[in-house]
Formats: sequence, C-alpha cells, structure tokens
Amino acid sequence: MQLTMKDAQVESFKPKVESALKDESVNGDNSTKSLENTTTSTSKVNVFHTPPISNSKFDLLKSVNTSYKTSDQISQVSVKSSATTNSIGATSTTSSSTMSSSTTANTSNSNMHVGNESLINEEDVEKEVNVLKELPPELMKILDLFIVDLKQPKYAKPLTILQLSSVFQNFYTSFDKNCFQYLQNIQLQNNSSNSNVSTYMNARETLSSGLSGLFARSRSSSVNSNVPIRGRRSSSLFSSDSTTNVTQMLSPEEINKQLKNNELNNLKIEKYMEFCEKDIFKKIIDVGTSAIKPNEMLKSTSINETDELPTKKNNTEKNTELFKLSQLFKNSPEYEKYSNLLHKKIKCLNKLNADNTIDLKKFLEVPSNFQEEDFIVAEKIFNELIYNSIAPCEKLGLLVKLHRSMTSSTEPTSNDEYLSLLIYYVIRANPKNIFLNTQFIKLFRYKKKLVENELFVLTNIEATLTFIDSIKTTDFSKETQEILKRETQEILDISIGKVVKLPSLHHSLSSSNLDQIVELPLSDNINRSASYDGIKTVLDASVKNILGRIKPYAYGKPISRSPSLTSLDNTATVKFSGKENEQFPTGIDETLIGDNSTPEVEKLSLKTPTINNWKKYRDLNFEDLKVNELKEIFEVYKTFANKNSPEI
Amino acid sequence: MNSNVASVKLVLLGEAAVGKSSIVVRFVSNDFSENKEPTIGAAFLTQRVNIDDHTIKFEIWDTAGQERFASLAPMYYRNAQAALIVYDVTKPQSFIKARHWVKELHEQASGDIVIALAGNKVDLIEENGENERKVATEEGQKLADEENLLFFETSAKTGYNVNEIFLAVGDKIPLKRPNDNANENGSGNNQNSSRVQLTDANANAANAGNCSC
Repeated sequence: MQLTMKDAQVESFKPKVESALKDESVNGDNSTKSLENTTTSTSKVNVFHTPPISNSKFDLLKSVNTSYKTSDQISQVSVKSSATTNSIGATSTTSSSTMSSSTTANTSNSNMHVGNESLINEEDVEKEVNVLKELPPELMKILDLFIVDLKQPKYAKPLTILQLSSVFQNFYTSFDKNCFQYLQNIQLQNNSSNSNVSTYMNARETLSSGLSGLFARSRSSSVNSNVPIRGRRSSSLFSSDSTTNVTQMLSPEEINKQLKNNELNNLKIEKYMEFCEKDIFKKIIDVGTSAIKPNEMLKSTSINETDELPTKKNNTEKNTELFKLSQLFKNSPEYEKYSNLLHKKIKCLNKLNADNTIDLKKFLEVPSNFQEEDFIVAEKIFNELIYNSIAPCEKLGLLVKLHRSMTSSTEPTSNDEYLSLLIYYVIRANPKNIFLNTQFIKLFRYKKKLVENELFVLTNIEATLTFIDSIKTTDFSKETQEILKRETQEILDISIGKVVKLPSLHHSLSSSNLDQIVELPLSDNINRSASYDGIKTVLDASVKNILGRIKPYAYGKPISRSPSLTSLDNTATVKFSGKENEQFPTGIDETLIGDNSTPEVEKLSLKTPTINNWKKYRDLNFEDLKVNELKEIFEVYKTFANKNSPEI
Repeated sequence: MNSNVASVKLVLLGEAAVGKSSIVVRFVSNDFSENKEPTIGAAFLTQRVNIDDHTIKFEIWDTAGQERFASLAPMYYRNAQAALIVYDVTKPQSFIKARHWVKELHEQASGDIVIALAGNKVDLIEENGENERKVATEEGQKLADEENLLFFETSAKTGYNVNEIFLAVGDKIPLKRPNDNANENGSGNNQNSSRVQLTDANANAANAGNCSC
C-alpha cells in the first residue's frame, strides 16, 4: 500500500524529479541528487552549521527518538545515549524494502551530492573583507549627511516611531546602493590603472573606435540573443581588442574573476552596511548634545526625536543603558506603556518563582538537562543586549548568540524547547526594556538583512514576550491560584496586548518599501526638495533649501526646504557614478551643514535672482568649485537674501 | 553552477511529538557535505534543492507544537510560502489537529501558500503491523484532495518519502524569477534580489562567453 501511495504522488512531479524518485524506489537509491549543501555564504562561516554533520550535539537519531516519545516523556528526554543510537540503528536495518534505510540513503547521497561551489574562499574573505574595519570616508560622509538631515526641522510634527523607522529604512536602502556604486568606482579605477585588464576601459575604447567596434559588439550580441539587453556595466564582459578590431571573448578565468569580484563586493557591502548601522546610532548619541547646545531653538521646534537622544559616551557603568530606547520611543508612548506593563508582569512572575509560589521550570516544561550555568550565560547575554549594545545588528547578534548558547548547552530538539527555555530565561533575568529592544531591532535593523536565522530568533523572542503577556492566573493550579494575592492576580490577568494597542508592524517585516505605507508629516509648502526628482538646478535648489532651513530656526516654525534622504541619495549618486545624474547638485548638504549660523533671516520670498551668470555653476560638482567661486556663490546668496528681505 | 536561487520560507506545523523536527533534520542531514548555512539547532534549518533548472533554498521554521503555544503560530507562518503539516499515523488526535492547521492556514496565511500534509511514523506500522495504524491513508488522502494539499506518508526514522515531500513542495511553489522582483529592493524573502540580478546578468554573460562560435 505504501508503494501505491508513493506512486500516486510521484505522478505530480516533473519528469526529472520523477526519474529521481523511480531510481530510489527501484534501486534503493536516493533521489537526493538534487539535494545539496551550500558553501556559498562564506561570510556566515562563524554562525551555525547544520547540526547533524558538523555539530555532534544535534544528531538525527536523538531527534527521531525524541519525536517517538509521548509528550510526557519528551521533557525528560534530552541526554544522548549510546543505547538510543544502537536501537535506532537496529531499526534501520530491519526496515522493509519499500523504505530506504537511512544509512544506505546517506551513503548514496554523499556520492551524488552536487555542490554549489563558491568562487571565493576563506582566504579571499580574510584578505578582502575582514580587513575592513570602518567605513571609507566617502561613505562616512553620506552617513554624516544623513545625521545632518535628521536634525533638520522639516516635519510638521514629531515623527512617530514607525515614521522614523521608515526614514531609516529608506536611508539604509540608499546607502546600500551607494556602497555598490562606491565599490564599482574603485573597481573602475583599478581597471583603468591596469592596462592588462580588458574590462570597462577597453570596452569604451572599442566604442570609440568606430564601426568596427560596433560590428564587433553586435556580433557578440547576436550570438547571445537570449542575453537580456543590459546597460554599459555588463558590457565589460564583451570588451574588444581595439588594436585588431576583433571581438575578444572573455576567458573562463576572466569570467570567474568577474563573478568572484561580484561575490566579494557583496560581502563588502554587507560589511559596510553593518558599519553603517553601528556608526549611525553611535553618531546619533554623539551629536545629541552638541547639536542642541549651540541653538536652543532646535529644542523648541522638537522636530526630531533623535536630537534628544541621551549621550552617555564611554559608559562602562553597570545597569545603565548605553542607548536609552525609551527616549527613542517617546513620541509613540504606547510602546513605553506596553513595555512597562510587560516589565511589571515579568517582575511579578519572577517574584512568584523566587518565593516558590510557582515552579516556573515545571510550569514551562523546561528541558530536564537545563543547568543553572546555562542561565548565567543567558543572563550575561541579556545584560550585554540591554546595557552594552547600541546598534540593532549588535543586539540581534546577541539574540542569535543566545540561541546558539542554548543549542550548545541545553540542546533543544524542537522549537517547543527553545521557546520554553527562552520564556524561562526572560522571566528569570527580567531584562529591562526587553520589549523596546525587540521593537527597536524590528524597526531599525536593515530590513533586507533581517532574514533567515536573524528573523527567526527575533520572531522567537517576540513569541516569548507574547506568551508571557498571555499568562493568566488560571494557567496555574487551583492551589496556586488560591495563594496568589489580589494585586498579583490583577497584574497577571491584564492582557497588555488588548489594553495597549500598538500600530500594526506586519508590514515592517514584509514590505520592501516602507515609504509607500508610512507617510511622513513633511511640512510641504514646497514638495520639490522632498522628492526624488525635486531638485532642478544647483543654485536654485541650494538657496531655496538654505532659506527653507533658516526660516524655522528663526520662528520655531518648521518648513520643509531641506533635501530629503532621497536627495542625499542623489548627491551620493553623482559622486560615485560619475556620468549619471549629472543634473543633480552635489554638495548641497555640505553647504547646509553650517547654515545654523544664520538664524536672523526673517522673511524671504523666492523670486528669480537678477545676478548675471548665476546659473553658470549649474553643471559643476561641488568638489570642482574653487574658493573664489564659492565666494561668488555666497555673494549670490547674499544678494538673494538682501534683495528679498530688505528689512533685515 | 546554478545561480538562480529562490528562497522559500517553509513552516512546520503539527501537534507536539509527531516528528516535525525529525522530518526536517532528516531532510537536511541527508548528505554529509559541510553546510555553512546558518541554522539554529533543530528549529531553523536551511537546505538547497535543485529542481529542474533552478535551485530552491528552503528556510525551514519549526514551530512549537504544544497546545499552549498554538496562538503564537501566526507569528511564524507569516509570509511563509509553504507549510508542512505533520501528523502521526498512530495518533488520531494529531490528525484532528492537522485538520485544524489546514483550516487556519487557509484562513490566515497568504493565499498562495503551498501546503503539504505528512502522515509520519509509518515505520511503526511496518514494525508492528497495521493494527498500529490509527489514521488510514485514505483519510489523509481525502483531506488532501478536499483542501488541495500535497500528501505523503513519511518516516523520519527511515527517511521514507522525506525528500519527496520537500521536492514536491518545491515543485509546486510558484517561483518568482529574478526579473519579477527586480524592483523589489529589500524583499524579505529574497535577500539579495538586487545583487542576484547582477550575478544573473554576469552568469548569462558568462554562458554567452563560453560560446565562441
């Protein structure tokens, strides 16, 4: 009957899969020709490894054995024994012919394994990626501009945490692109300095070599009609030899080199994004005080939450948060309310456990091989998470570390055990602001990287907190319920999720573009500067932006004139892409950095200036300007200011 | 080298002790090569599978099967493209629970989720005879037919039908081609969408380059 069932299912497979399955049923061979382990992601070498192979603590035999126990037995099964192994091994041998023995399957699989080999090895990663210790100045500049942008009073009202999160996510996305362009530029520069490399520069040369070059190019395209039309970037793979006018195909080595470079660049970008996340929050802490001190007006405008983030640099004191999340969430008070109520509930459960009113271990069915030392490790990680980490990626890394420590010590065999342990740890350790920390990671970790095991551990910790919220007095035995005092019952029976409504965050884990969902309260008298295609000319936009910024400084009335993050993106694009987007101004924000020093402007109208040739700098990059030209631009600005505001 | 890799989030559902984790550990541990993908014990595992000309990378999320954790399940199956609902053929209660999960997924999960039903522990019947069986194959098949599920009877212990069920799921997943999500920068399920795009372009070019006619 088993065989019949199997055959019935096989019919739904495509031919390739079907043949694989037939092989298995007939020959006892296994169809895992199509299964493969991966060796591509070299950056994750230091994370986890598939348990049964590289981690002896996770063998299949134990897992199978556990699943065959009744639920009562499960909590007691956790220690591996040779007897278990033997019994399973014996069972495997007695399997009927319709079922492939695990031993046989494994052996054949190893022979049929098809590897997806990575082009880069650990040495490359060590040499190229791990040597990166900080962001290069070009990228750091973009980050600085973002901080400056954050401090601008351009919103009509304080941003909620979701809106702030969307601002950050958009920045991460643009920064990611900038990293890519930066690395491309470096590669271009390297290629141009290396005459032996037949990539971009040669391709360009070919382009300029007239019809022959075009023919050569069209030849390669016609051969590869299935290759989609690509931009210039990919034409590097079809570069031609300009001296002979014969198309020179890239050799496999060159292709591999190109692919290897791409892989390495991806790893570098990952590293840069990590630096970005870390630096951005460190900088926010740094600029917190320095930004407020010189101009108290900023405080009254209360434009951006980040302005008022606490500054506790070099804080080594215990039990003091390096980064006070409650400040970050202060414009969304519901989060803090939820956090406080949850903290109260956890504290209550902790106390009940401490005075033996409840047996938490038994209640949660904590795996029996749990050792007190495991909790000490977990508690340390929680302390690190709450008090000594700043960036979301750091905090998430600690949660992953916590799971890893559980994996290696208590050896949970399913998520039931992970969850039980996590709940137990959280209640016992009662980490301060654990809820806010979780939400912080969820909202401020770069979404593109919040995937796989990181997303899983975050979900686990969220599930843990949700479960704690759902604990009621009725979950305990009647005897225990009678012991509980009235105030304790009140605390336990409150359903925080129902009392405090949090905004829906579902999109934050699934949506790729928060912009479409979270609307920013831009005080948009003029939309131009706050959109991707907003900036038309260098001076026009620059001056308008400057004026826009100055006005609220004087009156405490924000007007949106500053370039948005998207315009920051454009600025950076110009710097890195060279040829593209030349119409966008560069250095606008650099001009704006010092604009706080002119708060005296009172009322300005934006009329066309009468200065001659004022548009002549339109096509220049900021970096190309000389000091005297900058002076001239400043003169233009002054004329603007004086002309339009004669009363000043 | 197959650079066309699609990530698929697959969530495991079923009553406690039906063998959810065992099935996935069996699936993932079926070859001896070193795997450097991130995993979290038996709770989060990844495995790549080649089907036809493309590769699927399964990101397998285990869920807690105990009843008291049932309300947490939506947090896990959110955005899942596939679900494997497991029951124990020797425990009728677990089949009832499986029915419940099917219903819940149809109501709560994303519309195009691929659901597979696995009647696990058939090895017990091989060992102890048909008397051990409490859920008939026909019952499982009927539920699968009614609810448009994939259905297999499996044994994590022997590996019977374990690979097959995952291959069938992978075969049924409506895959997004890289071009489909070229503009979806930052998609949760395709972490390298933009870069995959580039690699693909180069990979195509690489193939083209090999053709030197």
